[in-house]
Amino acid sequence: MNPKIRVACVGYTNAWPLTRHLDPAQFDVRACVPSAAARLLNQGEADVGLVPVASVFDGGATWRVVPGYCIGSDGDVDSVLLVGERPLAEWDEVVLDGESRTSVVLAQILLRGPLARPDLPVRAVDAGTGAFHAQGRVGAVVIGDAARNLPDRLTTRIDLGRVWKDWTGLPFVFAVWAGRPDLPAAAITGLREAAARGLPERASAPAADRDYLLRAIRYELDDRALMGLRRFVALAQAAGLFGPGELSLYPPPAATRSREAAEGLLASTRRGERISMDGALCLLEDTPTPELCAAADDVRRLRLPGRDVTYLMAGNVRLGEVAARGAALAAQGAVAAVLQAGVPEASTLSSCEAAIRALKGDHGLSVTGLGVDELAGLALAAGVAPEVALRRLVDAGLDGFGGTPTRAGAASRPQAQMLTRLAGEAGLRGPATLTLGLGESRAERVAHLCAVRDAQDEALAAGRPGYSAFSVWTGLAGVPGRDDSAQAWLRLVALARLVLDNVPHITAWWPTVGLGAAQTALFAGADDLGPILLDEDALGAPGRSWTTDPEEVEHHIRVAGFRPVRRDLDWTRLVPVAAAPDGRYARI
Amino acid sequence: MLADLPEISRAHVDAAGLGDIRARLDAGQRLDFDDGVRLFTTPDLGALAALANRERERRWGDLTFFNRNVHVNATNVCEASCIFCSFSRLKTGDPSAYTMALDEAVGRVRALRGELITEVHIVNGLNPDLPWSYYLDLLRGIKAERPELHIKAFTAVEIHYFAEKYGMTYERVLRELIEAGLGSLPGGGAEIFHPRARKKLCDDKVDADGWIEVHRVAHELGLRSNCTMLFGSIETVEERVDHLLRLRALQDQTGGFQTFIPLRFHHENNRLNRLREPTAFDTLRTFAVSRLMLDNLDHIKAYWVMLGVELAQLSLDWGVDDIDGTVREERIYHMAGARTPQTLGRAELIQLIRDAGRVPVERDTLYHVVAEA
Repeated sequence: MNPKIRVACVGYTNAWPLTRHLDPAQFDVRACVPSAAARLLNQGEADVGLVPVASVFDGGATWRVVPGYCIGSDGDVDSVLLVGERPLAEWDEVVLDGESRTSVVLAQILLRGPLARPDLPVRAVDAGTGAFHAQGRVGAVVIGDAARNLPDRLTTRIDLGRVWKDWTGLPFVFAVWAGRPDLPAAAITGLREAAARGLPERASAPAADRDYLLRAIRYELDDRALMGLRRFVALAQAAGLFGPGELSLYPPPAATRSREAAEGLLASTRRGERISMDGALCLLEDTPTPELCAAADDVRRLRLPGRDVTYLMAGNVRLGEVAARGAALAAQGAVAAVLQAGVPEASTLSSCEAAIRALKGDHGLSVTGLGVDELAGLALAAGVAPEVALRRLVDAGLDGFGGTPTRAGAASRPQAQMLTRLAGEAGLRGPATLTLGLGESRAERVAHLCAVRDAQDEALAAGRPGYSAFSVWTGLAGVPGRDDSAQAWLRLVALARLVLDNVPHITAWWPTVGLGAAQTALFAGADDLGPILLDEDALGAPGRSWTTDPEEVEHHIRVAGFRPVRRDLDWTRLVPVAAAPDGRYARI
Repeated sequence: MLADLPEISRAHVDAAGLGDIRARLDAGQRLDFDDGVRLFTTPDLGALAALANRERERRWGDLTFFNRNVHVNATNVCEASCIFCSFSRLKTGDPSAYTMALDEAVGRVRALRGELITEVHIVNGLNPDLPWSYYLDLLRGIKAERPELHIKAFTAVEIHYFAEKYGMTYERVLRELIEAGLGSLPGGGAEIFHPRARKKLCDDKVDADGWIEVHRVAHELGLRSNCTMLFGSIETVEERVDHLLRLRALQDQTGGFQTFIPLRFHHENNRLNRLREPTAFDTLRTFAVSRLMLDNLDHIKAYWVMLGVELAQLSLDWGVDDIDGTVREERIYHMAGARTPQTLGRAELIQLIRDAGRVPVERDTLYHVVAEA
């Protein structure tokens, strides 16, 4: 019988989703304050601990970090604050509560950076006494449960998670599971499984904690969180606040996940419960395609009852051929033009404005196609801020947003987030997309889906329209072994339906996988076939089946038992005009 | 008893109204004609995947077979007038008609000297101008060139034609071909057995009983063979089920079939070009229902040349466990408008299977494992 794994972990409220399901047969758990957890680990009295990030570097970075989960934030964290009786500008000293070195280092970095008080003297005080010391012109860092129960006299409360997010655009990681380098794989699996079981139970936490655990604390140690963590470590090392060394992760125990876990996850997803990032990865790795598709199909039927499948008649229009293409597209029954700005020059922004006016005014087309990267390029070439470029295009009549970059992870870039937010504030909707086969891992695919879900939450909460649809692109790389087969595509479509509980439509984007695969995806969560691009030189790869014939597309929808419905860019349904001999469609 | 379906899939199948069929499959019971018709008419493609994939994985897990072969179509001159065919040319004088000289046909194999193929697949038109010795010499010539290659040649339609034209019994025809090097029979020419559809599709070639009889005799002589169904032209769902049950009945008696290959109708360059080709929906459901009805056949094959790479990959979740081979010079489907590449290399086939989440296994004609990739 193997000896039990000795675990040191903090007893804070935010730790219990990670620790409460640690199997007592496998783990010997000791609760303590963060600094003590680090000490036990350093002294060889614990094998693994839930420790502040700072501790990892205090020991010379000899510990490794368990992938998948952490205690972090992505905006307001509620439990790591700078507090005082007076505004920050009036403070002449800050006391640092020694309970968590990570928060202390974060406070120091933020005071030197965005908070603009680089010279404020700091003084260490005993753990847990920060709030007591914060009086008059003395401010304090307070953390943990103490920060969530402050006396009323402390009217200045600066949330360091929020300041970090606004400064870097990234999540912040406060604590990680770290352990000795030779920690057995079974222990890593056990820690992750405990988290996978504990996190869904946040929803049934006491009312006072529920919002904090579900909203303020971010438990996924995903690519975005790792990016934030690495940024923080680099800043702290540059400031001399952390020792040297690099972050080292244990390999993720992909092969040890179980079928049973996947089945449990699918069942809870079908009940409408939100799936975690690790849960989604588990499904992607371990669930057979028929089961994944069945679950996605069930969810699609619940959310979009009926048998309607939509599609859009659209065409690409390059600047310089606006008049000819606009007329041709309108004649072919297109309702939307996808504007291609090409390589932007100084005058391209004005040309785009003119093109939008012409396509709408002369040809009655809705116009979309300019996404984050195009907007940034146009603005740069024209020498204006991206928000100015966007405003001008909106004023010219731009109807839809081209969306965020499609490469995994790109949607999380601060500029992408900013432009997406601005487009949303202007009332523009666009799709979110993921392109497979550009060298991204499955974990990164799942992280991309979750980033889209987070962004959508934020948009909807702020009253913006958010993403209209999600689509998966594949087969563009043309490099073998990139896991971008029809199967990989179908599985991602299904997973997107399961993960993106806040995005209304899933588009089966078929130019590269073929109409047959798209038809199959109608049984895997997709409810839209996206655009029929009425272009002669459309981007279907050679040898792929490609059609610009709406009859053919409608036939595929109909024989699969669905009802084809033509739509506009804004998802308004279109109906054939009975009296019109030219087969025109009108908005309902 | 089968392993239970995962709860999600079970609920999905039952919600699709197929709970009683699922229960019969759970208990290892055989499906009947009415079950087949219901499976072919369910709108729920996902439920079919769940059921068919269980049968597939019960037999083979993730293993997915492929082989390396060369196709030789020695002549496209053909007396038959099947309306779905884009390959045949009625007369020798037709500008696109061809008949290879023996040395040319053998040369197709000779040209691949040094390549690690295991099989020669030969299917021809019913050419009225060739002597019986042509076929025997063709086999002998290939055997002389590459004695280790397995020759899978001549559909039941050809065997029947030889018997009539050269005045021999099926047994005599097959014995002489075996003597010359024949290793097994391909499954072509079955089309649709039911007389209504068969009369419309191919009135002048061997009927269902003749096709079945050729394979029975072949099995009794120790040959293994494959079987096929041409789906998606003018046949009804009931005629598809009837077809599957006739094959299942012979298999119960002889056990000689290795693989069932549903052949998708292609419409270019033939007299059915006004018909739409079957969509992925009909194709995948046909694979799945075949897997479920043919409980006594080992393998269901999706011919990737016919489906394209994407659909061939998807089919592996709808009951298919074999995607045929690295085909050299396929003519029959390409003349009917197939837009797939002519060949995929071994590495590409392995990648195709792996990308679909399965485990590739290279087999020979008789399903001996050549190499687990």
